[in-house]
Amino acid sequence: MGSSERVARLLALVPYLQRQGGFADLAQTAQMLGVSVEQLRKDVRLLQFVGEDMRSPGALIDIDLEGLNEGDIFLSNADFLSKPMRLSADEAVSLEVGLRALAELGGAEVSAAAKSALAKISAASAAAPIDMSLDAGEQGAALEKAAAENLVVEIGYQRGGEERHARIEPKRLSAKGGHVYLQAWNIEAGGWRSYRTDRITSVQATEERGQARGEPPALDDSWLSTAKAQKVKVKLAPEAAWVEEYWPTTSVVHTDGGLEVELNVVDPNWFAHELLRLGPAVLGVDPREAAAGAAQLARQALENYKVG
Amino acid sequence: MADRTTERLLNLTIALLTARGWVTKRELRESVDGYQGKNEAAFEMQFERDKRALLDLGVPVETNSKTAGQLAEEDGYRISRTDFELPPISFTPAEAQAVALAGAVWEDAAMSRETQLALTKLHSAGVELDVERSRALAPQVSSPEPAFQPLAKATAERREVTFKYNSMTRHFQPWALAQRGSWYVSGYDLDRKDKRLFKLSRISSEVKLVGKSGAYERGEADIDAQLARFANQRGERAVLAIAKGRAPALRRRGKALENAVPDGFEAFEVEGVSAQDVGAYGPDVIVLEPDSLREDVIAHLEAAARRGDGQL
Repeated sequence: MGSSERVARLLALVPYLQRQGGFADLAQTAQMLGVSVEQLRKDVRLLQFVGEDMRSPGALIDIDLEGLNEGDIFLSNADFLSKPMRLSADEAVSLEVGLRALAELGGAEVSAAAKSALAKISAASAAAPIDMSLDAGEQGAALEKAAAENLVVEIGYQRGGEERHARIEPKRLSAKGGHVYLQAWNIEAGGWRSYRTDRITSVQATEERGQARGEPPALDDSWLSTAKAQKVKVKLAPEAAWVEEYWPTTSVVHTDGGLEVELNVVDPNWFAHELLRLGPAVLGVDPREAAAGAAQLARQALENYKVG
Repeated sequence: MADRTTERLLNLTIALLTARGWVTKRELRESVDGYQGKNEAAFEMQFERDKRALLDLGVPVETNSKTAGQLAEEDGYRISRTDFELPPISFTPAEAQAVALAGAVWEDAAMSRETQLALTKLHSAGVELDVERSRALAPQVSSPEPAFQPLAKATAERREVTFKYNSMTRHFQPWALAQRGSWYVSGYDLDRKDKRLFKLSRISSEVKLVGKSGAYERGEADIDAQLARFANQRGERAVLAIAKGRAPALRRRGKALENAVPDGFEAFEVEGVSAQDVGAYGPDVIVLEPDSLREDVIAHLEAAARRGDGQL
């Protein structure tokens, strides 16, 4: 545990304890600060050597060491640190991004409160200009409302280019990798599912209440994992240089004739549509089969024009 | 060892905070435990390191600059209470609830810990936060890339950074961070002497903060304009036939028309459509008007069809 991190924690802890009348439960405080009980006990013990002037023992912080062993913190003689320090840049940024996420994902009331709290926090600390755009899609508000009111809803959503339907109990909106997901209990499947909110096209609320289902599992990366991914190399014309800022590339080499990028393709359907978007800007794909899906869709599309 | 350093940094902070005026290095050397008994050079080095560590934590250590003829050991230091302490802050109950919720959104332990420290400080300043009640209601946010935290800190403190991008070391003044699907940082590239946008996930080294706080003024970030330039987006008004239930994003951008369309399709009028936009949807979207776009899309699709046939 770095000294800096401990100094920051103790500078926050001393005023906190005094606000509490000098007393706090060790385990609860450790949980609040996100450290182990053992770590916090060491931290508090150290405070007995901290004070106003080293030359006069009466000026040091008083700690009840016996109480500390029994799980209680009792501290006194620390008037010189009675008010908290300003938020550090790291603290302000973490809180700020959390509030911005709430402003984007919370319901109307929470969102408004998050925005005004954010303005106050920014005024009281050195904040960084951070701009988050988490688009929960057209149905975001309806989903958030159903989750807050614990209602069963019927949704229509896109998957693999098809419209599907599900009867679900929405639990919460979560953001991962720039997308917003709805975590919900799928009644027919009898399990937790996550849905990308920008692919949810309709929400039909019912009168029915959701049941107690406990907590959904954390949104994990498993479906993004590279285990099933195919490594693909694409040679692109210079006008397609933007892909290096959008695709999940593993390597990008700029050449005289454009660029060569490598990426792990997890979803062949996504990749086919990306190749279709680029059209003539794609100069080569290796392995060649990786371009077959796009080519087939292109041929189908060309049929449309022959008829029309 | 770590205990001694932590103690010394805390005692130094308190000594500077409680002093009536400027405190000289000589006085600090006598009064702060851990400096006593060190020789001149060792003390100097230790003191400089400690001062930097405190500044890095955001503790506002000030120095009164030397006047001519003043000896280095007579340099004065202090921490002003006004700069050190969190200014009075109060929230409405709804705002306090939002702040408590914000403390529960992080999946990532480090970001979560930083937020908890912030909440602890706000609580000490008298803000009532009902953290337990919040946990169940909070949305979850996954943490940004490792480059995020140092860049956000550098942006807040207006400090220059260095990092590797496309295997070159960049010297950069960050202005703002933005999330558009991925996270981006905009700012001034000191090597290219121009405004630049970097994608955080492509930064291939640790981000190092170099130089002093307040080293530059932040410029106008206009991240969206810069991103649009990457994608070279342009387009025109078009009448499209969209297969039923498909291409919802395109439908949302347009308005429905009554034009004659093939079976299983519906007509829409959409602004700002390019051959790339339509091409991406393959057989699900057909351009009805204008003819020029229709021909562009056909050429576009022919190129994609050829690629799969192995012709170059």
